[in-house]
Amino acid sequence: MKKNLFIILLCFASSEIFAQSSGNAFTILLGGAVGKFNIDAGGNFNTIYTDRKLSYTAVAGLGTGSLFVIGKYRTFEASGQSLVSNIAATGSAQWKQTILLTGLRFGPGNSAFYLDALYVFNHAQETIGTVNPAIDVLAASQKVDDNGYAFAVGLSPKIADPLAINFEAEYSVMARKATLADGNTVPNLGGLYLSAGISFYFHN
Amino acid sequence: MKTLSILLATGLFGLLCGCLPQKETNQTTTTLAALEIVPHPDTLNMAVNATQTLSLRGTTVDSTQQTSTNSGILTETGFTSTSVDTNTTPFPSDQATWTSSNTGVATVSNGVVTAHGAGYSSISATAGGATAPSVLVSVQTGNSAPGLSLDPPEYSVIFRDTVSVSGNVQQHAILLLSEASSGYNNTNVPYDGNGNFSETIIGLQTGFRTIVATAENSSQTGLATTRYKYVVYYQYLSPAADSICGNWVGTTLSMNFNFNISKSIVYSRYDINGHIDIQFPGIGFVRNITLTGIIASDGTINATLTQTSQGFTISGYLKGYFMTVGTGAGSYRASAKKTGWPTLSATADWTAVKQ
Repeated sequence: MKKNLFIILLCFASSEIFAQSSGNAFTILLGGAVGKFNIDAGGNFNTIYTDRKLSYTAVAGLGTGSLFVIGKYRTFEASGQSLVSNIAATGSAQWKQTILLTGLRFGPGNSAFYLDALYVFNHAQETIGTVNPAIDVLAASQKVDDNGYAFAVGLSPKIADPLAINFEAEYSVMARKATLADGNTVPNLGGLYLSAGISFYFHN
Repeated sequence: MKTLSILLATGLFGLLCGCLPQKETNQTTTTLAALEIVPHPDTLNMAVNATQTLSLRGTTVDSTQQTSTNSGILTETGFTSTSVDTNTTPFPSDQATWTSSNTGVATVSNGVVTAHGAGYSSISATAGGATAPSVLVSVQTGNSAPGLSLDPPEYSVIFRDTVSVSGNVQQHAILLLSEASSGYNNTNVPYDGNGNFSETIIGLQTGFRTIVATAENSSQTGLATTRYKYVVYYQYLSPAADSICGNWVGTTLSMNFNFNISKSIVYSRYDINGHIDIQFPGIGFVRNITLTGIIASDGTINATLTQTSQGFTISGYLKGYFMTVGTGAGSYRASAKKTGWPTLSATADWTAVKQ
């Protein structure tokens, strides 16, 4: 507990030391990050999708001073074995998710610390099938769109103008639960995303 | 207190399990698909007051329905397949309903046929919705010529000097069998308790041959029934036998098909190759099923059927014989198999003419 508190305090302290804002100048933000997305889908997601790839994010923003309008685009892919019953075959499953986030970034007091409030557009596609043998009637694919909200906290200390590094924790939750073809509700396609990356702040 | 808690928890769990819907995935049903009278001669020849015992053989089909599923997070798909196992076993005679079309000629009870008067009667058996092909009973009086029937075909082409003759004769009759070119002459052919006999004649000479079967009344030899079987014997691979070579057009109830018979010098045999379209219930016609095989020296046509189509593996056989060097007849049976599908089958008789 003490260790975590120390880390938080260190982050806030460093955010003052490595402040990235340059007054109220018009700033263009471009960046990228890689991280781990722990989807909240629940159920058998972790059982089925044992091979979860790193998730990549591109960030762009416009702003002045401590306020930015930002957009993020992220991809997440996972694969594994679907759950097959009553037949001697091995299941296969592919998960592809694209996440578009747009909203505001607020960096209080021109510090390196920031908060994001975002609206999320999720698009997920799942493809299941079987191998050994491949059985046509056990192959299917489904796409869903789900929208929601996300909040993120991050630290973006400047390394050398315009370059800064990024550490961010983001949590998203779906507000609208779509209905699947079988009548069930789509599980939460949001979750916790922990990432690290770099950002470029181009000032006018 | 702790014990009470465990009991309550166990009871609650049991109640919960009992309330939850149980998904039924496997369901097996057994049906009697076919019934057969054994032995099954086309005609059963009997004397008045004689009895013969017929038994039954049943073919049961065990049909198991199984639902297979594949589930992801967003997606679930599945199908229900039916696996079919067929078993042929003796069927208890007393569990079938036996009928005689003419009880004045013969009656039947639990498979025991009793002859009462001269004439013909058709004996059949039914059980579980399946009806066995009937047996014709021919009853002769003591002062009449005994009944005699020969198994088909009446006319056939063979490519070796050996031919088999089988049939059914009225009990107590004296059965004579002869063929001139081979010198075969048996004046007391043995037969079983039901009058069934099977003899092999060897040493035939090439050409058109007539086999003569005669059943004599044991007390009045002048009262006799004579039947004939005709074979044309061509030496295998001889120029005369080569007449079967060429293109043939086969006919079934639903379609025509083509095959070719050719002489293989390398293998010293006759090869049959062709194609046939077969209609399977559920998937329709499967086209261009390959037909390949040989013409055996006993004159029989033996070919296999193979094809892969739409994920189905087609296999089966086509059998037959030649009535002349320009005509043939027989039957085929094919099955179509695919993972997750019940086995589909098709059976039909065919005739063919050389072009």
